Amino acid sequence: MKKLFYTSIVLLFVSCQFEDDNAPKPTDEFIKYIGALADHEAKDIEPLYADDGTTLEGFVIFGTQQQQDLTVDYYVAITDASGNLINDASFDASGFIFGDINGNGIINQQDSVNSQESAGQIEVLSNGFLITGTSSFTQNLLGANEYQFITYAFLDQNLSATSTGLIRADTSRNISGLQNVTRDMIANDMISLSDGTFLLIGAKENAAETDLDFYIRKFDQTTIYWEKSIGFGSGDDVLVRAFENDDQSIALFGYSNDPGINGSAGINATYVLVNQNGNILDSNSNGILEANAIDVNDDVLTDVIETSGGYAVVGTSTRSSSEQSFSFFMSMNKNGVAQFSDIISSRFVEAEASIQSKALALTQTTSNEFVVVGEYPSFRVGAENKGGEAMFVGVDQVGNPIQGLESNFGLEGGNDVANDAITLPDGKIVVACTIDFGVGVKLISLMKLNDSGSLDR
Amino acid sequence: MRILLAFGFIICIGLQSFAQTTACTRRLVLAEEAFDQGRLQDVLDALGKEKKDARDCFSNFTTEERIRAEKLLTKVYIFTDNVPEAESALIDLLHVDKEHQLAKDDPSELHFLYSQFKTEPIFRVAARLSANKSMPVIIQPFNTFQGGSKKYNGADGADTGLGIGFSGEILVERHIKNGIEVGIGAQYRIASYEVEGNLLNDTEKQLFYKVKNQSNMLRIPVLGRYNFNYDKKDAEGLRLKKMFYVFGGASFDIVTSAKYINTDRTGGTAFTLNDNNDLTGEFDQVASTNASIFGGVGLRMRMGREQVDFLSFEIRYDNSLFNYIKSENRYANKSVNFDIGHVEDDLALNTISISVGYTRSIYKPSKRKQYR
Repeated sequence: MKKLFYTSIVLLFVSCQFEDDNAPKPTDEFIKYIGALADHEAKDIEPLYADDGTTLEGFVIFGTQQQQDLTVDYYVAITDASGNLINDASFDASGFIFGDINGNGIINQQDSVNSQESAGQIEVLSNGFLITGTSSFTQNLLGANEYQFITYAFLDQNLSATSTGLIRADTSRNISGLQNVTRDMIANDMISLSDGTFLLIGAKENAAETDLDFYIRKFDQTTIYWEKSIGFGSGDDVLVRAFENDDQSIALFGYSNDPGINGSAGINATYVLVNQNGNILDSNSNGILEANAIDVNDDVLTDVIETSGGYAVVGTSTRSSSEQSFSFFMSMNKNGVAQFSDIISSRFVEAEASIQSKALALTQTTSNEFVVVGEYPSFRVGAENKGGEAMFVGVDQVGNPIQGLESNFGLEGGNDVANDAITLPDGKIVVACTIDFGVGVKLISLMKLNDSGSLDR
Repeated sequence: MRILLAFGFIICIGLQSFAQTTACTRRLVLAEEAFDQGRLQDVLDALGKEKKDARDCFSNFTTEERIRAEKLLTKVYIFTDNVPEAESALIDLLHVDKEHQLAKDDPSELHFLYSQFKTEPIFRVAARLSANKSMPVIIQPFNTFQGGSKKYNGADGADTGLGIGFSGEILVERHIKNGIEVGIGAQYRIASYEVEGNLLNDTEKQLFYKVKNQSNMLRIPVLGRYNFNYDKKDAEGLRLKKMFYVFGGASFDIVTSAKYINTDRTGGTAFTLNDNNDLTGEFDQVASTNASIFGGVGLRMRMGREQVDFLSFEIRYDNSLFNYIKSENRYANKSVNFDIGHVEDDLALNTISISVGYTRSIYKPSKRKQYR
């Protein structure tokens, strides 16, 4: 009997459970926060696959991170397939790694000045990553003018910079011997071309310093093959996305004031086709037509993806009369002509007919529909005013919101933004967000949603 | 004047009762002497219940006197070969003194008759109050934050409570044989676990949250118990006053409600969860039913004059067999996921509890089937 007694005591502290093999796993759907006690912003996310090209190993996120000195640096984070951080690093463009910041022709300690970085895109290479973005030279103690310039870096798989570069619009030198840089340059995207080179696109302030022109540069780690600035009508012309075609021509997408044949008044989504030498072969502009004659829409393109029939485009359209902003979706053919374009009518709050939104990115689902992400800057639920929330809305081939595939998420306070989204081969959607906890704390959030756009099964 | 009259009336009643009690006691003593002298008819004359004055005495006896009287009558009826009356008297005796313990020097005929009767309780009713501490067992961890893991119930320096809850239980038990008992009942349990999550995984805890998950459960336990030395008697032939026991069983558990209480995040713009704190209902985040096994050890102490009821103390471990969280709805509550930064682990909501209980034995003395 004593044995029974002592056995009972031992069994008292032994537990057993039956596990459901079909229960969701941490890799299935998740929310993960990344970052330290500072402001972060996500900009781009890419999947990382094993050498077999199909096994998902994780994700790489490109964005920015505020530092202790309150400057903002590029931030790259690599996670595993469950969103767990494996490695991260920040890069300060004002450091040596990005070159001659003050433009005095020498890379030395004087180039270590404060700058603010604004992330562009990250490209996954076979041996690492290529990041690019725009830096702002803000704390100018050296007599140079404040300006924006393009910075990029090749990173190895351990996120160490192996090569860095800086592109700025040089003009003359001032009396101190510093280059008198006044024109801004902006980088929005960089792609690998089939010939092993890279194409960087964005904008460059024109010589008259009145507005921005399209900017394109083809280069590799040792050579600049060509670079172009293309003015496209009055106002700012900014390139946002680039795609290389099979014939090595390059389809460029951005926005400009040029209405072209198909565009409308105000800023339009602009398509430019250039050959491998950067010469223009074709162009088109497409705008959102306003129902009334009073309003002019400024349609600022923010993201483009290639589809089987052409391109799917999203952006934000701002009405001139009310300055209200709404997401738009365009479906373009291979020639950059819009087959469909309209505002995405968000209806997730009942009885709210027009909820303002800003589309930032889109991804095509495995069912050939689209998920557009961005932000709802503010909206009302009943009598309650809500702060900005991340936007997640599914649209069909012609941009109609899909019933049940629209949601908003984020914190009760703060301005939360869904910055980018990708679709995995299994149909699940991964979204990179910026979640605002308030009081100077914004964390990058990585969310893996199911193919219905939900975190639930 | 009226007060004096009332006082006098009460005094008179008291004196009359005292006089009657004294007379009955004397009657019992004389009957016992008569029995010792073999004058069995005198015993029946004094205590036979067909007589009104004898019946009155049974009403006035103290419990101890009544036990003596019933036992005396039983023996007299045995020795006068009046078996029906002997059985009737024995049943009366067992009504007064449940599980009456015969002395070694009681006549063997009485022992024989006694053995033909059910003297054990037909069942017992136990009521128990417990304090429990949850001991969640993580089946599969889920976190919003990087590195580390959640801290439960104040472990590892977590700034949370200990996960204390309470329960009440009523059981109907039956003794089978040799100290083995089975029981079934109902338990209402309030169990909670408290979680701390550090969103930045830093030592300063600059952005962290606390969550208290409290569930109310209606449980239907079925148990088996082995009482050590259940039938053992001491040198004086009396049953042992203390018994250790071990027990084990299974329970079907129904979650009647579950909610978040005292749930907040510190750092950034602090947030306290006031609404959307229900884990059942709309969000449907906990399994509505579950099953548990449990086991434990305890100590029983006999109580009361008859020593057939028990005060008990026990330690019990409840092992939930299935996931407490409805994992497919883990992310259903956006306020918890985003504003707090918390997602539930897959976990078994195990508890360890200490309890105090009272067990009352219920009897229905009757002749065993084989002797009818």
